Amino acid sequence: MRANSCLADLQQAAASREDLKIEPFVLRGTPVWIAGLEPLIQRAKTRYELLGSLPEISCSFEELAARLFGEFVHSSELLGKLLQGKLAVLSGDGTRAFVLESEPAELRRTVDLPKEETIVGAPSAAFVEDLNTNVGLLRQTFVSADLQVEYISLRGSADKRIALVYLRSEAPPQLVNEIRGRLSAPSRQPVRSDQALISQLTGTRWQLISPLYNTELPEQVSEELLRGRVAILMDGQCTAAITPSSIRNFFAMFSDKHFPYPLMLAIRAVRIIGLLVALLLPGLYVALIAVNPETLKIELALSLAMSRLDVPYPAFIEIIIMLFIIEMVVEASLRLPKSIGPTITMVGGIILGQAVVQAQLVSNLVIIVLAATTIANFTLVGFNNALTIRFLKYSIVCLSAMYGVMGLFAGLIGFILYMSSIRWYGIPFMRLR
Amino acid sequence: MQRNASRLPTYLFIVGTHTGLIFFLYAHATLRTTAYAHWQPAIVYICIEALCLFLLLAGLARVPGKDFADLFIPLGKVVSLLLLAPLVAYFLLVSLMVMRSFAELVRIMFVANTPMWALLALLVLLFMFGAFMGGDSILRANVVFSALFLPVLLFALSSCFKNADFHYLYPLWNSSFDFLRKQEFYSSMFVVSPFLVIGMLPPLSPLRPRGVFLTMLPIWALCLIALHIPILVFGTPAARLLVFPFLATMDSVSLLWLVFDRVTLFYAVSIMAFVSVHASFLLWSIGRIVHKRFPKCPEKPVIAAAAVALFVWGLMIPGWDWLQNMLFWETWLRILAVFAIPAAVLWRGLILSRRRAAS
Amino acid sequence: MIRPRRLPACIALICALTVLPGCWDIKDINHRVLPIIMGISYSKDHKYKVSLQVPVPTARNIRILVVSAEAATLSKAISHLDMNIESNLDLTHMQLILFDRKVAEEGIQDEIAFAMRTQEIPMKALLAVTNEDMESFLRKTGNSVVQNGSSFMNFFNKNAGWDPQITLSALWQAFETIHSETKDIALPVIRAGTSTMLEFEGSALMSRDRMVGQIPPEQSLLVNIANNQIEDAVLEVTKSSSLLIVRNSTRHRGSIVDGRPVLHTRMQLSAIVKEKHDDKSEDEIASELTEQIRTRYELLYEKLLKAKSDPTGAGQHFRGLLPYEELTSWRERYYPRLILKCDVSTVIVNQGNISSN
Repeated sequence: MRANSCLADLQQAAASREDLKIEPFVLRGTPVWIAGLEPLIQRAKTRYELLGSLPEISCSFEELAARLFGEFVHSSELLGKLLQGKLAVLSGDGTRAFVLESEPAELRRTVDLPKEETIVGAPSAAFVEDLNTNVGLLRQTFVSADLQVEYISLRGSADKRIALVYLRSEAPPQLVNEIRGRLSAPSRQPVRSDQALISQLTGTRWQLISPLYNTELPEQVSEELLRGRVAILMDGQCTAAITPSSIRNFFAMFSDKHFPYPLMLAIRAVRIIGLLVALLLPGLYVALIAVNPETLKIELALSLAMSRLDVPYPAFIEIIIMLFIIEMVVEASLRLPKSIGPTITMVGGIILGQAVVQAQLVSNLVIIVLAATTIANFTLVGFNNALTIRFLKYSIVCLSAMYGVMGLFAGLIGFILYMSSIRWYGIPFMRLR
Repeated sequence: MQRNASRLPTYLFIVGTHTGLIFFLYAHATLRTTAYAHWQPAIVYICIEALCLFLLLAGLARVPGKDFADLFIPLGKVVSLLLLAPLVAYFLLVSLMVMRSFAELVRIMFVANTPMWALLALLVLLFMFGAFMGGDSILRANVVFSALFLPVLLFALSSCFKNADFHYLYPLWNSSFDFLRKQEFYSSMFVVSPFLVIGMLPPLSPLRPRGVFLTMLPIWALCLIALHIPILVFGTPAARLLVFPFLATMDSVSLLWLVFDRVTLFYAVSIMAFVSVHASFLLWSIGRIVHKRFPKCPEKPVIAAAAVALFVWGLMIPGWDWLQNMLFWETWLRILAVFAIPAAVLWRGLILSRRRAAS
Repeated sequence: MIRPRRLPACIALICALTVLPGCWDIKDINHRVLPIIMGISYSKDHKYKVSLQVPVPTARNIRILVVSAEAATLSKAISHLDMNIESNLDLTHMQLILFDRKVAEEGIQDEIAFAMRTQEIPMKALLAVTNEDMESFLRKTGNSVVQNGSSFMNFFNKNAGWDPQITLSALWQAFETIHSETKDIALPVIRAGTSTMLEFEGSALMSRDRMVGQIPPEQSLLVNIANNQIEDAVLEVTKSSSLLIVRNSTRHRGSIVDGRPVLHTRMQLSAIVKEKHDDKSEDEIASELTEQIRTRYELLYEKLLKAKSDPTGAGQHFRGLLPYEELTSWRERYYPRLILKCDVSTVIVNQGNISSN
């Protein structure tokens, strides 16, 4: 039974996997079987390389393995190795097998510009889906023996490969141990996404603010590594997840450092103001129009009253309706095909901007408030962070509708208190380093 | 991180707890003690606070890393209860007074039709939320609040000088010292009490007595300024009639170039940030002390129970006058908390350090 | 299936729904009515008559509405008005409180106390006195607002149309001086103008809370100079020239001599020559102005001392000199016996582009 086990197992596996090809071959006089997953391997090129790297003498199976740097494997591991894109060479009788690296098929994207993060005047090669390429990009960006790369092997077959990258001199050892331990723990769901990572790292899915900060840029990862953070790269994801995140990630990017220091501070100040505006402006509108109009100047109060004369809805409902519409527009524009995109944008702009005001469904100040809020929202660094703020402002709007400016600030105070209490692995979220 | 920078949250916290009181209740409390020369009762308050703070810090410095509960619990069940129960009761009373006064402020100054229970519910939930987050989170959050709201309040303070008439400082000397014989002086002594939170800080962050005293100097200067601004703007007789003199003074300033008109509202909610820092920390301290004394009681339910008690008690107070009466009735508790507790801390500190030196 | 440990959170969320109807203070700004001038006068049977000038926004522009109500107390009158107006009356944008002369003469302490107590009325609201009928004043000025579009607040705005002769007094200042032992204010006396919106008739002298006299605009100017309120330039006409006073600073010093208070006032004026009728030298022009200002100031003070009104804040300079118990009787015992020593000095900065006619 054991005699034909490797070949027999493989043929059994190939029965339901028609992309697994097993062929007989003669390699320098030795009959062998060559097996591989056809989509993952360039067969012709591989065969050419194989023949080219062997001397013109006949070799036995063991000699072949030695010359081709093959790794002998047991039949139970064979399928797993083939799934990783390796080529298997089985002996003529099918009892022994070794695997070797093949010429991989061109399935990887070339390194390109980032899709979501655009920056001015700074290096912007972005990560791709392949883990090896990403680690390679990091090594190229940060040329140092200090850079440690650990591959974490997870239990499930659906789990992706994960690499843990950190600087030995900067990252605290207990942090690295903590993260490694949590990632290696048994997971309830396959670890294939950020949500699963969050669930692994913090123990629950229900996190309002993520411990991970995603970035497409190796430069950004390098800067975070220098601050003692750990980067988690997952095979198939074109972002690196840096953990633990901090409030600094909301408004600080590495590309700011390409400007002089005072300018950098000014740019970061603009982002912080953008954060506050995005969070507070709709609530401020509701508070000032509906609950505390005494804070408005008399001329503004009268002109606002004039603009709201025939509007049927109270300010709170107005804002909520328009905010939902803007959310839908933003969400839809992420998914629009390039051919329809401009048309829908124009229609949306005209409908929202002109027609809804002329129909006196909402007052024109709401549109200004919304535009300012949306623009301010996207001054923030990181799409996840902008998303968090986008959804937090609704609770602040509700509080301002009930209590006015006091509710607005109570919401802000509560939010700051919550953010101050967040700790990832004992490291607080609310810190500037 | 440098050693000095890591103490900044602590110092800012001390500033924050005092700010909540200074901009809010200090002026009225001190103005009602006497007819003129108000700097005299103010200086007496400062001296009392300095003395008690000195006692407290001297005791805490000898036993680093221990707070009130750690110091008193080893004394035995009865003695620790005798010392800690008034402290906890006093913390609860201060939170109650601050919360209810702020709700009254919102009702009086901003003519809110919101019923008292809704206002109190918002405040209590905010304090409870902060207390659940923990003492170190409150310290951290206070740094952000100081960065956001202290400039606003300092701007408000400096803009009040536009309307000030410095002649109202005279007459300078009141030789009768009649404030010492009035009950208002003793019931207004609550303005001295924010320093007690320092007793709960040692486990959270290290304290240096000299640093704390240096932090108190600008706070005391701010107390004097906050007291005198209503006097300079309105004159003493009119300022004594106002219920919230400092906020009324801020209301009188007319700055035409500001974006908003009656910005007193924004000043008041800035004060709310510091008030919530103070009250949340007090609630958390109550939870911490009770938990340490009775380890079977977990902290969060204690904090929740204290918050519910605050809410119910706050609703039961009919109005502003009642609040002033309540201040008078709790005078003995205040004297106990302000004088006896720091003295006890110093005594314990001396004993423990002597014991440690002997061993 | 919701796990048991999620139950408290669910209950909390459901309880949060119960506060949804809790919008007690929501009243949109277009459902509020924001009066900007409030006039207080007496009705025929000596009850309070409150008149409000309200700008009502319509589709195209703003329409001015004047409403009045009579009642025994101010708050009753205002609640009458609130009842009758279709929107909610919101006093938080009040800009001017106008007193009828009779009300000012009887004392405005209760009215000021009402305004301070309610806290809706902003403390920065200005005060004025008028001799005209309140409703016709409000209507006439209202018509000007609609026609010319000029907000009447420009009249009192130091950055806009304010003139140095016009006294500015806010609600909080009235409150301060009603209770102050040593200070008074002067309220502007206004009336609806024939060609302009408002005309300034002079200042009403207040002693504590009662109006005790009226001074013409030239003397109001001196009160403002004495209080260092002037930031703009003021034109003064002397016998031989017209001078523009560009800078002035006044310093007072008090002393007690033989039980009588003595006030040393030192005014320093800097002026530019605008028009010259004869060829006098700079020194002569300067001394003309000095003499004119000093004589007028001394005349003003005679009037002030007789009326026992202290709008220049003379008493403030004696606060350190008299014991507190004496200060409370400043207006009755010491102020009428005040001796004024006024010292004016003028400097001619330049004579303009040409040195002589």
